Amino acid sequence: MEINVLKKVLSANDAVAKRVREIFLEKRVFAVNLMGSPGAGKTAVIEKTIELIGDKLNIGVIEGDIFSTVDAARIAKLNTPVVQINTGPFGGDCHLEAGWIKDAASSLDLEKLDILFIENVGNLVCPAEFDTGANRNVVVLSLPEGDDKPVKYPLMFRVSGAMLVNKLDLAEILQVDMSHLKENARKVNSSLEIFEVSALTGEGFNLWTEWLIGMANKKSVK
Amino acid sequence: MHELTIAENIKNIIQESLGERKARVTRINLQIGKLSTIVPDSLRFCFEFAAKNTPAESAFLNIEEIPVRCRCGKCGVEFSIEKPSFYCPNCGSAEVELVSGRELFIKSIEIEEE
Repeated sequence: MEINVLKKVLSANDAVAKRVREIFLEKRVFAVNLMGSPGAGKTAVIEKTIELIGDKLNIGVIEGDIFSTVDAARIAKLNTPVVQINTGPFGGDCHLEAGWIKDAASSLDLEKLDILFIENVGNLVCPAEFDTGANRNVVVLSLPEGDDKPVKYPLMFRVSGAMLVNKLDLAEILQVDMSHLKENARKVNSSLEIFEVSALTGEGFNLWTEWLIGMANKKSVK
Repeated sequence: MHELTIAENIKNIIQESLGERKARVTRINLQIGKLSTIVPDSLRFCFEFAAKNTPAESAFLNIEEIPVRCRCGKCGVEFSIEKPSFYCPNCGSAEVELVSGRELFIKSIEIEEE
């Protein structure tokens, strides 16, 4: 006997993500789900962003890792509210789900925040599949990873609204073909906002922070 | 490794659908979009583990792959793509929306009542 189920496999996560998005809207906080490979510079991007606009906007951070509190300690040094999520010490989940975010966000004073960074687990595959409830997905791709990543991991670049091309300070050494990289990204997602930055030197951060501030303001105006 | 999470979600949905019914699940009919990041073999392997000691433990995962289909925002033409290159074959526009390809969907289950 056949029974019709007709259900999305991730419907449980989608329902929580929807609720999380509602909470962010109520609290008027712009939440960014920051994704990218391990070592792409996600934490460094958050640190530099806090350094540059932390005096204008209130920023909070949720750090997601399989294990360790290394990233949370880095953020806490900047007097920024931060919550660390560990998905499991020996091979925990490779991605964050909305339930984790809902729990972590409840320990932050969202009323006081303008921007909430959710730093996902370093991975170009799995996090793309799960809605965290964030308002925007942003992918950090660093130059040493090569210009072919958007076509190798299309879903990640398709679900992202913006891409930060990080480690611009290495461009000369690596001789990356930037136009080819951008072409690959636009092939997958023509509406992707692209920011070329160096979290080390701060190069290119003016456009990124302008975009962030614009989004955060839009959010508070609704 | 997120196939394990997916497998556990499938198991939970099946248990909900079965409710109080005493039955053995023989087949699970799934639709998985080609743009999704699921590896079918890996999902089968994880499901075997996730569904252990449940009525679905020996069920066969029948996976129907759904092609990536797009609609052009400029000229309205619908087309399928085999490679991650979202350009309209008719007018060349990159302004294309996804019609299908991200599915992770349980269509039905087949059971034998005890």
